Amino acid sequence: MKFSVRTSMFIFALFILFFSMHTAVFAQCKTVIKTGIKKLAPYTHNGQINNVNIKNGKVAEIHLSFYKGLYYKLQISSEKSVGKISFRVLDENNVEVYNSMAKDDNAEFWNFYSNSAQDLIIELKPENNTDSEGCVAVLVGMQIPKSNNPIRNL
Amino acid sequence: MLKAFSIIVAIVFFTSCGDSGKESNEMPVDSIKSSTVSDADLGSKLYNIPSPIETFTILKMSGAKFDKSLLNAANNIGKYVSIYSKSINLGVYSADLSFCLLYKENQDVNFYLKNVNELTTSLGIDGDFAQLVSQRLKANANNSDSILQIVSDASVDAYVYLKENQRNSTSVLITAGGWLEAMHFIIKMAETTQNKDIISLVASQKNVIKNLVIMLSKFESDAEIASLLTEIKDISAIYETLKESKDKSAVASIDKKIVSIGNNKSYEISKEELSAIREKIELLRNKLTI
Repeated sequence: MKFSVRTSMFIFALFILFFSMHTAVFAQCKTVIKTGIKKLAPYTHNGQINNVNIKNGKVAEIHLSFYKGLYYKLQISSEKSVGKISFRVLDENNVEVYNSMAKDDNAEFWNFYSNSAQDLIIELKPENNTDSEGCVAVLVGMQIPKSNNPIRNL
Repeated sequence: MLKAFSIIVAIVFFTSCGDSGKESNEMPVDSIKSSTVSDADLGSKLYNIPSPIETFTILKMSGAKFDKSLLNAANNIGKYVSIYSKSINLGVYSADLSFCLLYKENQDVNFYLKNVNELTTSLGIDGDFAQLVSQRLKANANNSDSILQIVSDASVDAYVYLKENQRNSTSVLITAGGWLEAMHFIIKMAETTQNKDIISLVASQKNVIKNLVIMLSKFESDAEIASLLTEIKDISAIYETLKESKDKSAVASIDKKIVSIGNNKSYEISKEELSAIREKIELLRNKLTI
């Protein structure tokens, strides 16, 4: 199959456009992640990078394991194009332990103390079910108890 | 100590990159694929495990001391030839680097930083990554905050680079290598010291290994990953036998503003189970690192 010069140029231009858009998407995501890491302060980033591409108002789930005995901060960071993100945290029995919409505070983060080694599911959802698409990251900060005996027996 | 944590965690991205399992085939190192499938298309379920720095933080809190004999010898790097081997051992060396940084063993930090840079370059993770980090680190050698910023930025760049090039299986292998090395440290220390907190840390990997199995399963069409997965599943099978118990020394957050999450559960692990897991971990680590 032969292409005319004009067709070939058109295909080449399309490829360049697609590649540029693709690169731009990841560049945006990089900014989203770095912004989220900065917002973890005074908690220390635990080294995890968790990001998903949310599209068409669909819910995304991030499954993470946490250790017993640390304070944690979950920070949500997202591209403007995807709009405001609400998030829920579910425990191993699928019981909701946090909902960013519950107190109408539109929180972008949540702090908690983990009293067990456990898995938690972070459910992310765009507040407006539009056809928007974009990168959403969940960054985890950790903090060790400040004193030698920071915890009390139950 | 917190400053040391800060530096390490940025580096250790290598050993803890989330996996959404959206890739079917590993790309050649220097190729660029210009299409991608969005996470949302595949249900957007992402799994991740604690990074070695998170594990070592708990380890240090329990009173564990630095033990150089646990590190993978820096001069083993010449043995790692395939992409698979390099990826796994980038995770291993990143975990070693974390451990040295956490305990401020600066001489060893230099050896392991060099190895991490070398493997990163060798795997083609963004051509300028290692060189750029190295140059900027030299220029800011005495400023911890600058080092943190440099490494943190570089880590995110490298992670996004892997994802951009659809090399998620490389990310997962790096994560698996980091987990294996962290397991090697904690299980050896658990047996040596019989420290209850460290034994509990080993037992708590029951949750972690489940996620690791899911992460690796996404790439089991790759023969090498399938083989690794089989061995990880063997270890996971021992973990499945651990029984759950209510932690008698259950604790809650002393900070009333912060909610305490969890049901104070822990896992019981016998000496025999600990020993069986240790044997499998050591066999696998020796196979992959020596």
